[in-house]
Amino acid sequence: MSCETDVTGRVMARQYARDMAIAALIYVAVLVVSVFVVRRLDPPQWVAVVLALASAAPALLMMRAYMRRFNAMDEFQQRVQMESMLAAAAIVGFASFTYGFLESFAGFPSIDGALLWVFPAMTFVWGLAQIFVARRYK
Amino acid sequence: MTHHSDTAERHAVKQVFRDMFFAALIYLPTVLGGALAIKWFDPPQWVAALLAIAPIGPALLILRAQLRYTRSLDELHRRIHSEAMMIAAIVVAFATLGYGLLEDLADFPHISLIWVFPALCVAWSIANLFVRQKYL
Amino acid sequence: MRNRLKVLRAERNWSQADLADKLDVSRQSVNAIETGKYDPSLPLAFKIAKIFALPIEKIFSDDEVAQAAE
Repeated sequence: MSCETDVTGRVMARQYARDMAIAALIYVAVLVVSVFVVRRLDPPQWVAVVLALASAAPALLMMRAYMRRFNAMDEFQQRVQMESMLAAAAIVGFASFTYGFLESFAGFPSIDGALLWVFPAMTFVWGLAQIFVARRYK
Repeated sequence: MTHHSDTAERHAVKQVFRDMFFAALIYLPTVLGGALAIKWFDPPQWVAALLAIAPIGPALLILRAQLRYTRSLDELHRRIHSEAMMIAAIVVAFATLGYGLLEDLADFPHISLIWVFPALCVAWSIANLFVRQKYL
Repeated sequence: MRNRLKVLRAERNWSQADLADKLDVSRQSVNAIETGKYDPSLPLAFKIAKIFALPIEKIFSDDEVAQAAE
């Protein structure tokens, strides 16, 4: 019985890893093409807008893959995921707030497209937070 | 019919508003004062950095008020808040990625990281309305 | 999950607010549980059972089990 759910869990995990890897590959590919086109070919503004939005689209694929995995989890796992995501949102929210102030008032370097880093930062902190949240329930 | 729990809820709401109000009362002068001090007196870099970080203190007060409020809620309302926050985090994560790319590739005007936090708060309030519909 | 909260409450002539008071939750949460939109946590379910002085399975039942019994 538990063996069976373990197998299902492993299949789900593999499926998730594959979905994520594919989404990441698409992301990198689209981004490289977009950056090349925008920097080298100097296209009209609307083309640049379309390329920028197209580059963001694979993130939706990642979210879909994650939602699929989330829905397949049991309620305890879901709880761990949710708590760590709350922690990540709070930490990244305040961290970006601090850097924003340093940027505007204390002459810290203004990163072009700094907002780009919110998504990776949240994902990273969220993964980190999962370790701590999971430990609390051990 | 005492409506005890309704009174408790109203009390909690009043409490969170009071906490938030005082936090904002400290927060706003800290931000404005810090900005103006840096502009007018041009202090050394480390003083400027301290002044810039100072608003984090009152911001933590805001977070504390929020946590206190969440803790006073019953389990369903806490769940509604958590789900809404999760949706807000996902929406803001995606929106910032999209806008960051627009900034980088399509020369859209630079938006400061300061706005991530307010965006989370706004997205959270809106998501709250939708999640409430699901349960209430 | 199904539950007989509404019936049990009516038998005792309690309003949703009365039950909410006894459980120390909001009236909205009692309503959400009664309409089946929200399944209470185990501690809350036990609290409900205690207030009605009934075993949990006399108040809550699994959807499938309930259907099989009908």
